[in-house]
Amino acid sequence: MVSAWFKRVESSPSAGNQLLALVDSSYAKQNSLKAGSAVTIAGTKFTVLGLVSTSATASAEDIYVPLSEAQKLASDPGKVNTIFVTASSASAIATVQTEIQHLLPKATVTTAADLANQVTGSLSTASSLATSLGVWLEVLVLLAAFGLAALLTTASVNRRVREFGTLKAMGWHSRRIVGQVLGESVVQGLIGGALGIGLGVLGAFLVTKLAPPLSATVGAAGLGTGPAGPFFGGSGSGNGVTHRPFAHTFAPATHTIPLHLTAPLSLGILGLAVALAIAGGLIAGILGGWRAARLQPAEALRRAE
Amino acid sequence: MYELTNISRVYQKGRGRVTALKEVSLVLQDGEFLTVQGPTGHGKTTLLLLLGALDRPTSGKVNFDGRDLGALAESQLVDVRAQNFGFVFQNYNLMPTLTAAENVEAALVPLKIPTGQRRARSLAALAEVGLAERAAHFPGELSGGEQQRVAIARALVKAPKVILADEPTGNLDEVTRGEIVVLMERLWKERGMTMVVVTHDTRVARRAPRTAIITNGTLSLRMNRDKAASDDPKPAMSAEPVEI
Repeated sequence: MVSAWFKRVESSPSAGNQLLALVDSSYAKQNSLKAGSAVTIAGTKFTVLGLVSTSATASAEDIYVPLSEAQKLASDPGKVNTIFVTASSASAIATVQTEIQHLLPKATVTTAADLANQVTGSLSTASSLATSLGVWLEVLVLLAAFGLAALLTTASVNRRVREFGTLKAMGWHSRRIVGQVLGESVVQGLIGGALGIGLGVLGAFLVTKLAPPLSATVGAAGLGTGPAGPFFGGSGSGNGVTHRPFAHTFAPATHTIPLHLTAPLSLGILGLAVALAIAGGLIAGILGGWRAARLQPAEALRRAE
Repeated sequence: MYELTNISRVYQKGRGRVTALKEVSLVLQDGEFLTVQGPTGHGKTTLLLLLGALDRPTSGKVNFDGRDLGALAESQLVDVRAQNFGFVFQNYNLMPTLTAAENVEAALVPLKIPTGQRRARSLAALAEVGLAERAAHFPGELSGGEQQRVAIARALVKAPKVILADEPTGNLDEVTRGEIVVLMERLWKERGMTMVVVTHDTRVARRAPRTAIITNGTLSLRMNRDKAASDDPKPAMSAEPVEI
């Protein structure tokens, strides 16, 4: 569409012998360019005819020049490096791809689907990475929680040395004392699990209720078309170029998708939480019980006294 | 009942070794009341722990009812303690989260006595020490003397052959101390069990027919002549102090 527009401009008598270029609006802003400004490309001076606006998601070039001029600058007359092909329908893309590949065996023929797959693949890889990272973080947090529970249980056993020494003096076998510690620890795990599930459900509810809405904007690749209308450009005619007859708006098509953050819950997640709470209690209880079983009653009672 | 032959007990303490008892020998008859006296850190508690199968001698033998306690496996020692010994400690050593009745019941758990019977015996034991109405109270709600009574009830509830008390009046005021001593003595006479009491208090020590004096890990015996002559219902033991 840009080249068609260029042809109309160049064929216009008012174009003169000037070499004309269109400049991306962002590039123009960075380099203080406007309609009528001069830009030099590979030693050749071009006059900026106007500015082009593209969407943030589209891949944009800095400067657009007629193909013939670009070929001259590249010293590759008659040659192009990239050809964009539009198929008549989506179902014809594969056939067209095959034909082009046959005609140009040395060329790399890529369809939109291939590009999408690359993006999807990249996204998928990124998603897998994020998921793996999340899983490892969860494992580390669980290990830390289990470790903390075990430490606290063991510390509790150390504080209750007199109690366990007395029980052993009364004839309690170590296994009964270990069972006592284990039972206490599992009950504590269940209570903690219940509290944790309650907090988690509340948190999920709050996230769903209070999270700010997000949106994703998707635009067409490359330059889009829009109805003709005014576009960026100078109003002066200092270089003998009038802009308005050739006005064309290159406005990209965009689509905004709203995203709502949610924290979904399921029976499986709740079941897993209960299982982990019990597991944490068991691990802490086993370690604490082992510590209690190793206590020698004489030493325990001496320390207590 | 008890025969201690050349008992020594040596502990590793840091880089050094501490000899708590040196070649101690002692014979205790069934139903005897013996007090153990001596300076702090000289071996009194160590002797008590050996008598109660809570510790093993480094050398020598502790025979209880013909069994060498030092030769028994740990699980066997636990069973001997459960069936034969009742302990009373200076700091009472009650479980703070259990009521008085539950604390006493804890002594019956290893004997696999049914729950109903455990509760009944527990309440009976508390009644015997004058605390029937405090059965549902927690140790934190009881005075020092009451807590020690609960501890005595816990020691007696399983009708042990031996009561071993380590400074049972150490944390009590003078009046309460006297009450506890009188209570323990009465129970000893009524039940005919063997009782060994470690004490600093000479007045408490002299209530027994004889006192074992432990100094620097060595044992000597003192006959409490007046006590032996007037109060002891058992046949008289040696009239002369025995130096061992």
